[in-house]
Amino acid sequence: MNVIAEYIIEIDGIKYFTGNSSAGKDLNATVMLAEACRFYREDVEEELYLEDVVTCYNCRFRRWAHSGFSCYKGFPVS
Amino acid sequence: MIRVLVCADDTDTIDSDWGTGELVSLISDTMEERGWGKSFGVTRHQLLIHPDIPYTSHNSSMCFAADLNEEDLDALTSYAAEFLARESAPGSDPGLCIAVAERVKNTELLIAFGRKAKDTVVTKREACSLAQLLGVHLSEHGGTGQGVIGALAGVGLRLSGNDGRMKGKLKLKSIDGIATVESILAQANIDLVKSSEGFLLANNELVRLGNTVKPVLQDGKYVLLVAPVDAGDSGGSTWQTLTKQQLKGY
Repeated sequence: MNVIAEYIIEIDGIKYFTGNSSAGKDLNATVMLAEACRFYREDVEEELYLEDVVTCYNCRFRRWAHSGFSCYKGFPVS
Repeated sequence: MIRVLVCADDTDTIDSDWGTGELVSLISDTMEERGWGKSFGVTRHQLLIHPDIPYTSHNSSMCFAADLNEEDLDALTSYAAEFLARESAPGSDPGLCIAVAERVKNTELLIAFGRKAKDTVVTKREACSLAQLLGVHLSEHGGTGQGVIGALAGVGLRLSGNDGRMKGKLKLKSIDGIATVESILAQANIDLVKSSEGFLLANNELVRLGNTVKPVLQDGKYVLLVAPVDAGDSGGSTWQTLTKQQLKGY
């Protein structure tokens, strides 16, 4: 699966993850991204979104958007 | 004693190792250690996510309510202000709000501001004007001071009694991960155990405790929300606590 091509869109120079956390396949994509990311850092407890999983949804560098989220590091995986 | 609400916002940056909740918890802890008052816990309040709002990553504010010795109000205010000015991350825009519940000139206006900040872009000027009108302490402690908006909104939302979830996770004793409602209520600062549809659980009902045991505020009470247990629970419980993902809307 090419996660970047399938899920990441760029708007005005900012990359956004477009998946839905309720969909298992989309959630798996964020797990793949986070596990491959050298910058991944777990957010503080009150901002964690999912339990006991390494995913962009739980990352300190995830920035919630109206729909989905962006990444302060620009999803630095290939 | 007087009832106070203390809220801060925008104290961190993306590179901080902690969040605003940590600083607000430390203010709450210090207040208790110095014998100024008793805290009723820190809650997180989600505000609007919008391109025109310069939030760091999630746009939430953190608030605690406390019973405070009236003569210690000035000490708490000075301490919290100095603490935020000193400890907030360089580049952040911290704001602090402290309201004495019984002295707020129009509680409904304050609550309405909190609710408005959840679905509308509000300005710093609007927040400052309202704080002045209501007789509420609102101060900025660095950067643009934009955090005053979330700080005031957080106080309004906490005051409403119907917004936010508790900071942190409760660790409760159980047998194989299952506890009675009676045991849950006896162990923690939880007033009620209810289903997310509003069904109130009886004291003898069994609840499977998940990794996140985190009450939310409803009608001014700490409520532990539960959902029907997955089929085949071997422990005999019929309910389980909500997951973090299920709690996101609170």
